[in-house]
Amino acid sequence: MSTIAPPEPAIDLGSRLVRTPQPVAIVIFGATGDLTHRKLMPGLYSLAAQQLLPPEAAIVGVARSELDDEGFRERMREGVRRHGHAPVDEDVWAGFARRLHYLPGGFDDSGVYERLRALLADLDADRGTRGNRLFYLATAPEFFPVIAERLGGAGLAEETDGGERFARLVIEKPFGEDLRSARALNTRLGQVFRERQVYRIDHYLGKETVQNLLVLRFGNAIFEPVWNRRYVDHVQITVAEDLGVGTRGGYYDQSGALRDIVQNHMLQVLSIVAMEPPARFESREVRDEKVKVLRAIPCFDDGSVAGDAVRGQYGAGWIAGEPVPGYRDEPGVDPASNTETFVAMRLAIDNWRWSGTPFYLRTGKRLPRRATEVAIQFKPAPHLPFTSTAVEAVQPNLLTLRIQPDEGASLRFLAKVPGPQIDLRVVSMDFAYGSSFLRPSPEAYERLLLDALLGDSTLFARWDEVERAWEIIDPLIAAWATTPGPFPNYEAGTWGPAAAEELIAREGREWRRL
Amino acid sequence: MTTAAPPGRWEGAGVTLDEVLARLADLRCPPDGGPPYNRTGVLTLLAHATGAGEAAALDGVIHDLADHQPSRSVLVVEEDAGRGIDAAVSLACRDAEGGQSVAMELVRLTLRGPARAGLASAVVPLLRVDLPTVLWWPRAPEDGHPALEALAGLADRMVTEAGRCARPADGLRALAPLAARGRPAATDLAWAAITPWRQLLAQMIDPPALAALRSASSVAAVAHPEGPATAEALLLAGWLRDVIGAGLMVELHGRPVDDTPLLAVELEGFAAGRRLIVERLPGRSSAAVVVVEPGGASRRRVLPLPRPARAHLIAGELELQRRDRPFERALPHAVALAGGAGA
Repeated sequence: MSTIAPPEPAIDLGSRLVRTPQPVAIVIFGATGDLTHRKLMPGLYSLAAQQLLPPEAAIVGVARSELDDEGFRERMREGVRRHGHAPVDEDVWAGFARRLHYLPGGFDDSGVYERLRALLADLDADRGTRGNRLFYLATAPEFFPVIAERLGGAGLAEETDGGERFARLVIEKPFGEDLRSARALNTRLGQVFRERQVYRIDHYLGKETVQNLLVLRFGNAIFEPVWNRRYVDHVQITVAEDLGVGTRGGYYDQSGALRDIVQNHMLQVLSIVAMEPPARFESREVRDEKVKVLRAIPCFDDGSVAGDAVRGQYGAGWIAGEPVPGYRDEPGVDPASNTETFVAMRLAIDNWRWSGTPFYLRTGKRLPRRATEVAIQFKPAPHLPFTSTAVEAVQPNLLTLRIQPDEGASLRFLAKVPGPQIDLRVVSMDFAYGSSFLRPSPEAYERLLLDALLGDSTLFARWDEVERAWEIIDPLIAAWATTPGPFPNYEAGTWGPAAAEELIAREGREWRRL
Repeated sequence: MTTAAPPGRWEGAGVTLDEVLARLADLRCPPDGGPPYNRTGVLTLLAHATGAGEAAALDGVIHDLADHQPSRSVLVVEEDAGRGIDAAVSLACRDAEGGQSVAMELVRLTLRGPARAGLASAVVPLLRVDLPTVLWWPRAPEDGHPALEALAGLADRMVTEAGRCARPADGLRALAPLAARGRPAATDLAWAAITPWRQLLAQMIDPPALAALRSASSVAAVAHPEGPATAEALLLAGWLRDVIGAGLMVELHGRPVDDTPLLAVELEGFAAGRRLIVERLPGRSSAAVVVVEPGGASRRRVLPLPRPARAHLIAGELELQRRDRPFERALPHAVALAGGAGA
């Protein structure tokens, strides 16, 4: 799989200066949508305020709404004001706004792409964008192949092999809805864009704490020797949300937790937790190691569908002292919906490092609290030389990596309770981002936008990773689609259906109480 | 990040370090008997003041810094009058990301008369073990200054303000041998202040432009307010000389404007007849960037050029824990240019 290293900056930047992208025209399809408003435009504005957008950058919004440049700028300013993490600076905004342009039109209208080509040529001449393009598809997924093909038809997907001129395509999830549709989508994109041009965003990979997983594992010598089947009893990965589907009922009802969270975010996090050390923190090396992990996970089959996966759907209940409706009563949701809002599963990784160490994944909506974490549960000490009363409450070591909220890590270990007797108690050694670095982490989208502009695809999902993730869960999707679930089977505000407890209890383990 | 109410303050005259440490420990325990406040685990900031007036100014900056980094700040004040050690200890709690409340400690030690001789011994017990120590020396360094020698010996990094003297070139000249030593790693706030300028210029100078600047007879003109060249102007010129090479001709000149220590940079020679002019817009956090093509056509853009406050600059310094090689390379060039420019 070919990659082109991003060009090195001309000047030694040292530890203070940050590498900035080459001049570029950023084209956002779906420019009046929620994602652009909430994430993309505040992220781009923040990059500009930090001097991280190249001076020659221009931004073109494409959407169906009839707007002119000024109208678009006003809307985007509102997005930055409401969703940016710092107040709008008039000076910065004035310069930033001048870079914003708008092109109205339907995504399947080839005339739009002719006008886009002419506008980009003007920007190359007037702003010095040098023929570099970054196309961001912030649209509904059915438009992905259409837009890509139209861009190809207009000659906008071409780039030079030497990297003098680039054309990159950034795609939001969902990348397909199952293995077949993902392959079909990839084939259509591949007819226009080469793999190295495609940046599949998984915003979890833009989170500081997920990247910190790599630093924790491969920047410290003490963890890696025990990061394997000999010392780790099992791993739990939890993505718990207390919210329901909100206004996304229509989308979510077609998707469900398996496609929305497990296939992408959770398998990406799992692959980082379980991967072998890459030789270098570079795109190809990191993604090669991640995909090896995914290939070592057996795909679901009839036996594991029945025994190693549990689905759930919430009924009415209580969250934070407030009554909340059941899933089937949410706006936009089919009253007889068979969509899962909860998934728990046991995955094996059949390689030397992890053979026999299960990975338990659990995600759901309307769980008691919002928490995303990875818990590495170590095996108990082989022998405790203390009296039985002292060891009653002994629990094995646990390393918890909190992704959100309250980002950080903690290590649980045993300590002696002060006093004349040898009494043992579990204590925790805690690292919290909030008390070690008193500056907020950058928004995941901001980081990923900058990486895409720089041509660094390390934190984006490569096609073989996406394909393998679909291969793993595809049989589960098929099985659940054809059999009605016992829904609703958990009350909002609880930790999911009883079957999830049974799944992990079968091997003498239990889910962490978060 | 929001500020919670300060949980406490204590001060005493003629105190011992044991008392100071005991009071710090007391302040960390909340009055309701709950578990001690979490402390940030980042670094110790050491700052030095030569009298009450300077101490008050530093105190204000350190207070503004609390949002950014230090776990403990130790402000050492030297006073000729009196004897012994006076101390003031305060603990401020902040609500960090994730709703956690974390405590930062400020210790102000006033060493009077003969007690000044034991400056290092008074500071050592207050350094957080296993965390880096950053020394902020808020003026130009002086060769052989006893307090500087003592405190620099305790620090991993040292931040000076070489420009805070009548002739900033003299300040940079004094800093150069300390920076060359490398222990502690030295830097200067004037260098931090020109980071946005360097970021902007680095964006404008791509590999072909740099190659052209290196091969042609290139010229850099750096403008500062009237009077001796500022440390910022000298360091930027020194950096350009380091990046482009000894062939770069540098002109430093003053303008009758007193907006910021660095006003404008003009580079000529990065393509045949092409000029780049970056000029800070007065009173604003932005610059006009003009590229003049050989035929005379020009393109003007207004780009962000932040003007960080002193506290912000110090905060940025505290995030760096490595030697700053570009600074160490630029400084001798700046000193050489100061000599040549008669700054």
